[in-house]
Formats: sequence, C-alpha cells, structure tokens
Amino acid sequence: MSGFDTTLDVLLDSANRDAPRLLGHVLIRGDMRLRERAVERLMATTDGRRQALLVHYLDCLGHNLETRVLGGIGHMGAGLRHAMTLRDPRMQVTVVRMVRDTQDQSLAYLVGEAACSADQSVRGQAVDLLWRWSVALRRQEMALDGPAEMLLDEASLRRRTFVTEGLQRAFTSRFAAESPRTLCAAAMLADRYASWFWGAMNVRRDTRRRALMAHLAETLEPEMLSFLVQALDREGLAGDAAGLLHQAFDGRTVEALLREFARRPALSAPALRRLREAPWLGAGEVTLEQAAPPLVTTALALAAGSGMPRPRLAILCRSVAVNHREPEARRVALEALAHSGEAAGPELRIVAETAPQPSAGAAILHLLRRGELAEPSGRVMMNLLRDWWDLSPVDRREVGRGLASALRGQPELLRDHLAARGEARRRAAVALVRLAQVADVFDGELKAMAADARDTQLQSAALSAIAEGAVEGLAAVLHQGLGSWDARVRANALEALDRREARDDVFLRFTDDPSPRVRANAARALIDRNRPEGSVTLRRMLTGGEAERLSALWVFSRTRPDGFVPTARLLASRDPSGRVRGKAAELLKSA
Amino acid sequence: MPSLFTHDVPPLFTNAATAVMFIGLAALAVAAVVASRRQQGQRDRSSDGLWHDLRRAHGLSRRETRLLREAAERASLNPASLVFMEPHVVMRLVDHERATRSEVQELMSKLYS
Repeated sequence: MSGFDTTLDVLLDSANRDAPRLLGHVLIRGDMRLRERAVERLMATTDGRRQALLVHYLDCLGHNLETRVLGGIGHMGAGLRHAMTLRDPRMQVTVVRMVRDTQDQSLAYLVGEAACSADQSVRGQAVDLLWRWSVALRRQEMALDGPAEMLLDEASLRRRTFVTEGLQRAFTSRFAAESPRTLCAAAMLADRYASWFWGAMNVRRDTRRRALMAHLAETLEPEMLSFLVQALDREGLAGDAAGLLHQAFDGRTVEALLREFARRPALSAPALRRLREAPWLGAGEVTLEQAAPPLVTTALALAAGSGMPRPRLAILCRSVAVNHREPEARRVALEALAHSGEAAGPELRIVAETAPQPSAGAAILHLLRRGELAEPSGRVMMNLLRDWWDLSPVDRREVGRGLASALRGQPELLRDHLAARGEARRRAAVALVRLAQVADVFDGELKAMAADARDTQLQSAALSAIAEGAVEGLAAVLHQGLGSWDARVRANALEALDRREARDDVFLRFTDDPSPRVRANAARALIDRNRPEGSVTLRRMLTGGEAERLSALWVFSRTRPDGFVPTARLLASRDPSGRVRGKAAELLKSA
Repeated sequence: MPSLFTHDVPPLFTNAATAVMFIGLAALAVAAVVASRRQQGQRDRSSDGLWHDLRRAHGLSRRETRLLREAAERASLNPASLVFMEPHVVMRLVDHERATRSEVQELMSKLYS
C-alpha cells in the first residue's frame, strides 16, 4: 500500500473532527496526484458521511475530476443520500444538479426527497427535473398503441418506476398542493397501481385534488389526457373528469385523446356514457373527418358506446363516410352506419349519392340488404357503376339480384350508361344487366354491343349477358361473334348458342380451337347434345397443358359425364399442377 | 452436612448485600464506559489524536515525527496533521537545513508515495 493511501485509510476510518477537514483540504488545495487519489478512494467508499465530501466540494474539484465523479454517480448513492440528510440547501441543490447532469433516473428518489426540501430553490429545481422526466416518459408512452405497462421495454419500465417513486415522495410532501407541476407530473404517470395518487384524488376535499383540477381547468396539456381517461372510470373523480372533457378541443388534442382511449379499450359502460355530450364526438368535428382510420374506429366505438341517440350517431357516421379522405376510414364509418338501426336509412342514401369511390357502392349494397332501395336515383346508379368493380363478385351478384325489379321498372336508369362513352361504366352496366338477368330489357343496346368488334372486351361482356338472358333474334350477332379474333368473344358466343337451338356442326368447328375455353364450351355443348366428339375433345383436353386441364374440369363440373368421379380423383391426387389438384378436389367435394 | 452459614446469617441480610454488590458493579461499569467515551470524545475532538493515529499508521520514528512537527509549525499549519496532505511543506525542510536530503526523501516516500 502506498504512503498516501495509508493516510487516506486513517482519515476515512477516523471519527476525529479534523479528518473531514483534512480530506476537504486535499480535495481543494491538494497536489493534483493526491487529489485524484483522494477522489478515487472517496468514490469507492460506502461511508456516506465521507462520500458526501465529494458532493460538498464538487465545484472545487476541477473539470476533469468533476466529470469523473459524475461518470461514477452509480457508486455515489451513499454519499448523495447522506448529503440530502444534511438539510443543507447548497448540498441538496448540488445533488439535484448532479442527478440532472447525469440523467440517472435511478436516483429520482433523491430528487423526490429534494422536492420536499424546506428551501424553495431546491424544491423548484427538483420539481422541474421530475416534471421534465415525466413529460418525456409520457410522450414516449403516447407514441405506443397500447397501455404503457404492457408495451414499454424493460429499461423504460424501470425508468418509469424510478421516476414514479420520486414523484410519490414529492406528492406526499406538504408542499405538493402548492406545486401544480408536481401534481401534473404525478397525474400523467399514475397508472392503476398508483394507490398513493388515486387515494388522494378520491377525496373530494383533498387540497391536491382541488389544486390539480383547478390547474387542468385552466390548462389541459395532451400529456394529461391519460389521467382524465383513467379518471372517467373512477366513481369519485368521473364527474370532474367528464366536465374537463366536455369542451371543444383543437385537432391535436382530439387526436391525442382518441389515441388515449384507443390505448385503454376496457373502459366501463358508465365511463363511456359520460362522453355522450362531448362536443368533439359529434358530426361536424373536422378532426374526425381527417384522423387516421384506427382513430376513427375508436371515435365511432366511443360514440356508439356512449349511448348517443341513434339519429345523432348516424349523422356522425355519415359525415365521416362522406367526407373522410381515407377509404378505410369511410368503410369503418359505413359499417357503423349500417348498424345504426332505423336512423341509418336516410343517411345511407346520402352516402350512396355523395360519397367518393368506393364508399357509395358499399352504401348501395347496404341499402339493398335493408330493402330500402326500391327506387334508385340517377345519382345512385351513376355511383354504383363507378364503384362496381370495387365490390366483390359475391356483392356484385347480390346487387344485381337486388336491382332486378328496379331495372325492369325503370330501364332508363341504365339505358344512358349502356350507351355512354366511358368504357369502364359501360362494362359495369353490362355486367349489372347480366347479373340482374334483365338482358331482355336492354336487348337493343346489348345486340349493338355484341355486334361491335371494336371493343372485344365489351363485346364479350355483352355476349355473356345475352347468353344468360332471354334475348331473341340473335343468330346473326352470335354467328358474327364466332368469327372474332378474341377467344372470350368466341367462347361467349358459343355459350349463348349452346343455350339456344343451334346445329351441332356449329360446335364441331370449334373442337380444335386454339383457346381451351372455346374448346371447353364446344365440348360442353356437344356432350349436352350426346355427340361423342364432345367426350373425345374433353379427353384430349385432360391430357393437355394446365390451362386445358382446368377448362376440362370446368366442363366436368357442368356436364358430369360417365367416369367423372374416378377421373376427378386421379387429377386430385396425381396431377402435377397444384391448381388442377385443388380444383379437382373442390369438384369431388361437391360431387 | 448442613452449610456453615445457613443458620448464622439471616436471609434478608444476604439478599441486601447481594443487591448492593450488583448495584456497585453496575455503577462501576457505567462509570468506566462514560469515562472511556469521554476519553474517546476528547480524542476525537483533539488534533493530537489524529496526529498520533497518522504517525502510528505510517510507523514514523521520533526524529521523523519531530521533523514533521517542525515543518508544520514553520508553515503555520493548523491542525498540524495537514502536513500529511502537503508534500511541499516537507520539502522545505531541506531548504531550512533542518534535515538531510535523504531523510526528507525517505519521509516523502513514506507519506506521499
């Protein structure tokens, strides 16, 4: 052991009143080498009384040694604690400054202790530090999608616990009621386990509660919304919290509030009912028409859960379904509207007439399901055709069935669209005619389209509609379609002819068509007419490529010839193509 | 065989004597502790106590102790133990020709190495 270490050993262990004086002397005026050694030894000791000397003389150590002390603040707990117990404002301020400079939140309990100091300056600095930490933690939590206690990582949770401990100490001091920052910091981090906080808040006459509520009535920061949302669920506080939430907030606050509600989905029914008259939860709230879809979902769930009158809820849903720019948000609003009971009818009609793509189409579907679209307007029909391809095939079929009688009664609703210039709208109109099975009502328009080879996609669609409808006098048009270069046109023409009295040789011509779909239609027609060429074509297709085998399976499903089941089994188990195996298995299930 | 005292000394007297003896011993013990504490307190309050502790810990000889004391007095150090923190004060002993260079070096090595 070196000579100076021996001196330090004696001084560190001695109870003599001159020992601290000597240590202080070396820390302030000592030779730099001895000073460094003294600092090292004091940092290593567990004697808080001696270590507190480093706090006392921190400003005199010089930059390097001060940095070293701050760097090793993890070993300074005993000294910092002792320094706090000395009740010397200068020492307490130094402790708070050290903790602030190092941002070591594990020492938050010391800051909490300082927040109870008799010295106003010490209290001010300590409260300021606790406030800053609380706001930072709260903002981190506000960026999460769920409750902080579930989603925060372990390190953040630990920091949160430390800061909460400091706040608990500050909150229980006699100065807490005079410090809105202490109260706000405690409120923003108080979770459901913070009984020390909620216990005080439940007492109506508690000065801290009164001070906090008075402060929040003047200034309500977004960080405080967590407290208010939790308070809604506490009987003693719910009234005051609801009172604070019943005000017109700016957009940023509304979004923060909705996020807070989204993070705490398990609010009780009485808590939700208190939001019934909240001004930010009504139609015309611009923020709801601009918020992200998940927030819209939350807002509508809150509105529905609040027991808001159905007409008011329907108007809110409609305003979002019409005015929101995100299709997903409009979809959510529309679903909510569709479940708003009788009040939904008029609002759904407004959506059907005014909403952007694809919401209007979905609204029309809902109206049809409710049986409230007996007489669609021209505007509704226009929107339906615009949104037609956004509907699923099943929904399109449902719309077609639902509009059949309306189209028979008011064919003029669709006639203009069948002759319109927009190709997409015409195709949608033809598809609607086919699914509504009203081809006979629009036979003139369909015949013209089926004969027009300039747009083979439209021609094919028209032929398909004709094929399924009872349109007469089509022979010339269908035979013209058989000569088309587009396989879809030929296939649909064959299908239409198959449903009518056509001669067998018409189909025999197509058993060698390059398109599997055309050959499949020909084979099906021939099998239906008991011609052996049909089975021969089908067998040939079953040994062809994947597309041919799939088309052959389609013929199988429609005609069910002899030997269907063993062939389908063979394909389901041994075909090299997964799609063919799947299709064959589907057929077997329905066999 | 019966005890020699059982019938000579009354039991009441025996109990009183024992009690006095115990009280006396306890008073002595308390006095010893108080005296020891007072002595320790005096020692903790006096600069000489720390001086002796340091001297003993470093194993200083009488001459070395004398030289150190002289150096502290020349530098007007109060308490004198501050000399254990001030190497340059010891170095001045050579300047004042109170000690040889080798003596001072040995002292420096003992105290500040």
